[in-house]
Amino acid sequence: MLTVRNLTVFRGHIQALTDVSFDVSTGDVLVILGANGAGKSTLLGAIAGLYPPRNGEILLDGALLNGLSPEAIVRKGLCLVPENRQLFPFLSVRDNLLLGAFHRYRRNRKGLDGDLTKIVTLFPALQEKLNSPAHTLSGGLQQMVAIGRGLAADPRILLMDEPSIGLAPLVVKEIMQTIRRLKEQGHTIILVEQNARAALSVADRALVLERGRVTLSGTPGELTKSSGLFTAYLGKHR
Amino acid sequence: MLGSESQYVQYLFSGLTLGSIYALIALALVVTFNITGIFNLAIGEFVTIGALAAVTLRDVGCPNVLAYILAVIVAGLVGTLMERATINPARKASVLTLIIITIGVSIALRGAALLIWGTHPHTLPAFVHAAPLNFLGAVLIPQSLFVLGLAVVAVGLLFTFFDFTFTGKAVRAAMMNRTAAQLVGINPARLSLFAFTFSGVIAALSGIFITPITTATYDMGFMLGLKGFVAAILGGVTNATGAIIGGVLLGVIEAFAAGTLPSGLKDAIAMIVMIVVLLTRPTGILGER
Repeated sequence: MLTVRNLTVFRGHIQALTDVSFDVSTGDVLVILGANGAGKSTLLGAIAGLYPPRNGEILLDGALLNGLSPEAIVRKGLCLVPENRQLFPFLSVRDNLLLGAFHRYRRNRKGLDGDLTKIVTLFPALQEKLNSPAHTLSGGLQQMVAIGRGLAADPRILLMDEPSIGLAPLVVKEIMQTIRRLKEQGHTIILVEQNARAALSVADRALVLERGRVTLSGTPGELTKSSGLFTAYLGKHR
Repeated sequence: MLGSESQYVQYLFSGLTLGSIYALIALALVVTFNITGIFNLAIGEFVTIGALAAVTLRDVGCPNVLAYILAVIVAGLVGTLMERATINPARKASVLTLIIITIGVSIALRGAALLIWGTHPHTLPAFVHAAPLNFLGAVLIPQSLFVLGLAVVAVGLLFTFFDFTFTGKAVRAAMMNRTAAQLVGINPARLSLFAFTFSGVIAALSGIFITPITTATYDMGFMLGLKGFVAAILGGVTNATGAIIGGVLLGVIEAFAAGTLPSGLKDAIAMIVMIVVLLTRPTGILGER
């Protein structure tokens, strides 16, 4: 459903991505692995419209997304849960979640209560925090709000940028379980993670980025067999 | 001799009056800054246009209230037009470029105001013709109460909008985190248009309410815009409440300084306040980071 072809992206004068190509099919979880600075966040940002590509194509069901603004891309059904959560800190959890549905709020105001219920069912811990300002929550709960806000957009593809970063191991486990549950519900997900083992456990396919290029791709099984994964991780070349 | 106490009350009254105007201008500046990342330094000209358009509309025979409403709409449209014609086409330019554009617009609007309204002062009648009130030996003119009332009502409405409407919350969300707002589908170009139009409206109201006290000239907005800017810095540019506190505080500081220091220093006070704030607490009273 999503096709990325020969994507090249610059961040300032630095070429952050070179000739990146991959496909994501409906219902799949694609995991993107790589060391710090390999271009993972840039890749998600480029798909979400934050960084316009210099070259290449991003196609959603054959329709070109290049050059659209982030707010237009959300409307097309791609929603990014950004790195470091990026909540609206002084708004309540409820408002954060509802704003996730901003692009369809006017058309579907009534349906939103049901969506809110669905999100709270997924993250029961948020129930009693709905009226608290988002910045007062723990990191794990904030991450849940961020994912919930992404889901509120009712996206066809959910892009998640390092949802486990800075969280305690138990919370990471919980987040990964959530992703697994979302996958079972049929969501299509692109997940960027540093935590390779956790991420591969939910992946259908994975690719490894190294210095802005795809160096490995395949199913989790294929990847773990390849020694390249670990060198990519340590950022070493032999 | 007039008791010094009553003198201080007098300073407080005039400080609060002018401070309310600074607060409203600062509020518009802060809202614009947090939505767009730039300071609209043409905001003072919006004050001028509001006040002088009201003068002209009355001259051509509009009843007072209608003239004021139309003048506010005119200034709002000037804000809309400014955003569409000068800011939106350059939205990919640097913040510095955009701020310089607003200075350019400010100079152009002031020039246009000079051509239309000339150099002589104009005035609007006080909203009610009542005798000044005596309070603790000081004199409070009724128009001052209208100015204070405007500030209270405008701020109240604005906070209601921000706190209780979905659109208001979307604006606040964009003020807190522009990128995240875009990622949920909030269109920054539309918000920018809102910010400039809103600035036009609030500035025009300020101009119309203050003109019966200060009179209106083609360049009245320059100083008011500058003071509003200082008030915004004083309160902390990231914070709407700070802008209001900064405005009122600046008005009061100015009034007391004008009463006790040589009068030539009157307008320098604001700049001194700004320099002191920037040197000692660059984030302002309520600012973060």
